[in-house]
Amino acid sequence: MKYISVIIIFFLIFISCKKEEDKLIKNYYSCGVISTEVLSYTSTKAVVKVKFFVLDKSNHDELIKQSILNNIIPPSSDYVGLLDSLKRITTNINGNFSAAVLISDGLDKTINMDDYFIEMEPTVRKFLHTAASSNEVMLAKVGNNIKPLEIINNGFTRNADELDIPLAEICKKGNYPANDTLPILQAIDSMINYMNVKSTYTHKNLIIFYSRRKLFLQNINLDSIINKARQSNITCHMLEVTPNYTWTNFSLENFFVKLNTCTHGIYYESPYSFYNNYEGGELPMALLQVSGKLNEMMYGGFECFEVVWSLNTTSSNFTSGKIYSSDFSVRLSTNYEQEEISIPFHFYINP
Amino acid sequence: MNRFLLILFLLVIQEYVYSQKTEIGIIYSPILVSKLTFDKDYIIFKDYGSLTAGDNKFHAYFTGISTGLFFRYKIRNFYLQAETNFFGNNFGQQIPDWASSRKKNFTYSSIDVPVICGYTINPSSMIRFRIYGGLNNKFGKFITAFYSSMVYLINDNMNQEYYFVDKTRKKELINKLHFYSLNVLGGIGISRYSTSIDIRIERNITNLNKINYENNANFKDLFLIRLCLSHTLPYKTKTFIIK
Repeated sequence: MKYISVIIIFFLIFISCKKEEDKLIKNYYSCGVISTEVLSYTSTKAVVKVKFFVLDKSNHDELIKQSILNNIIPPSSDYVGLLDSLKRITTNINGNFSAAVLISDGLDKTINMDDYFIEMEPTVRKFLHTAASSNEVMLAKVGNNIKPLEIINNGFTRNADELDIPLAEICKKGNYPANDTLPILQAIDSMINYMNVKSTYTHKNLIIFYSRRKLFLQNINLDSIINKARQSNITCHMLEVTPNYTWTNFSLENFFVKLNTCTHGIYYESPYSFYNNYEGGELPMALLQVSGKLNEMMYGGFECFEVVWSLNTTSSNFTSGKIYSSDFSVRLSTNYEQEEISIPFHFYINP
Repeated sequence: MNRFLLILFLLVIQEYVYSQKTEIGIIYSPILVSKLTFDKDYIIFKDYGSLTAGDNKFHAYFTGISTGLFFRYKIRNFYLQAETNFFGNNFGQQIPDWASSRKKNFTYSSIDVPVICGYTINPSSMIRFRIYGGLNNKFGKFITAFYSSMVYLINDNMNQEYYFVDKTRKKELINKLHFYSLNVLGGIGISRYSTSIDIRIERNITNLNKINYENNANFKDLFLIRLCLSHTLPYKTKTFIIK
């Protein structure tokens, strides 16, 4: 009887040693803007060229293969848009680059913001790892009023592994309710100065992640920072990890949009419903898809779509020196609930 | 002098053979208390995410079907014991970021081959006490059905569907481990008739990592405290006499 029980136990062990099934990861897409340019304008009409991407998981995260001509929906909210042209293009080669990522930690409100750092961390790390070696990358954090900018490690590096642990530390410890005033403008100003001195390449890129802090130290003129960035040949990119909230500081938000648009940077807004259904729903897959391609977009020679919209306004007139926002949509057959993906874009009428 | 030494040697051999007794039995380890530490604060994964590395606390687990066979060779109060165990190594709660109970899944099985030398304090008593120490050779890192990262859920339509619990990260953690490691162990046990209860403590003495990374957390120290139940199977011992 005892020997039979031993045999039963070993039989149970034997049948338990089976291979786990692999999960089929569903297809997903990400849509964003590479740059915008105002071709011409009058007080009631603006002709705007938008370079944008629709990345497809099933096409190895490259541009979607199928034609979207019949699936593009023109802007219709603030401005009525007419499609002038739509084509596939390859962007100009910009060459190797220096890229800095500036992060602010601490949250004014923690409600609904728990995932901010969870989503930002892999996004930043993926960019740093895909961009490094051929290019130089660095990580910095917005500090306090005494030291507004904290450079992580030794600044620019070609080994992204060095930044892994410091990035994890910032993101794990960053999710705290903050009451102080964020010196983000000073940090950006110092960052531009630092990049001007330390960058190896003339092609410079800055990505800013700010953690929705309501209070910020407004001790520098916003336009002077924008002008400084443009004069320094720094392109400021914007990846919106989370949507705006009613308590968002829209003055700061508008500044980032203007900085991004005026320097012709990449703009991506994460659709909230898109990061589900992957290994328990932890990773922002669409955001990661974009961050994995950022280095190619920055380097140039990137295949994308180019659309020209004629936008007519009925409410406020177009004037130079201002930023305008609109959006169009692309209809895609995704596995997810959202099949019509909105692509917001901003354009700047140069004085 | 040589004759005296020869007689002495034969006396020792005779004593040794007369007192020889071998035992075979089954051993079961239902409860494990474990602690696994890391050399850095964060584990970086290939999916570009990270988790806080270790909470430096002991956690208790049920190990499921952790069982094996032992072979014991007794020489008076002393004994030598070799085992082959299929053992469930559970460390799920060592990762504090895996808050959900479903995610506490850093668990794998190994083939453990401990070699033990022990001392029975009162061999002729009905209730016997033992102390022992030795080395445990751990081979392999198997993911079995008992420790699968696949969990069955019922969805809104009342259909059964799979839920994968950080499968890729769990596999990555397990893949970081070396195929073989050596632990030093010590323990105490109480036996009554053929049944024994032991408490066994283990700690690694070899590097647990397949590769040591400079910019990622590596495994550092492993502590295992196991409750072992063993039962000696009926076995006919053979003795022979040197004439």
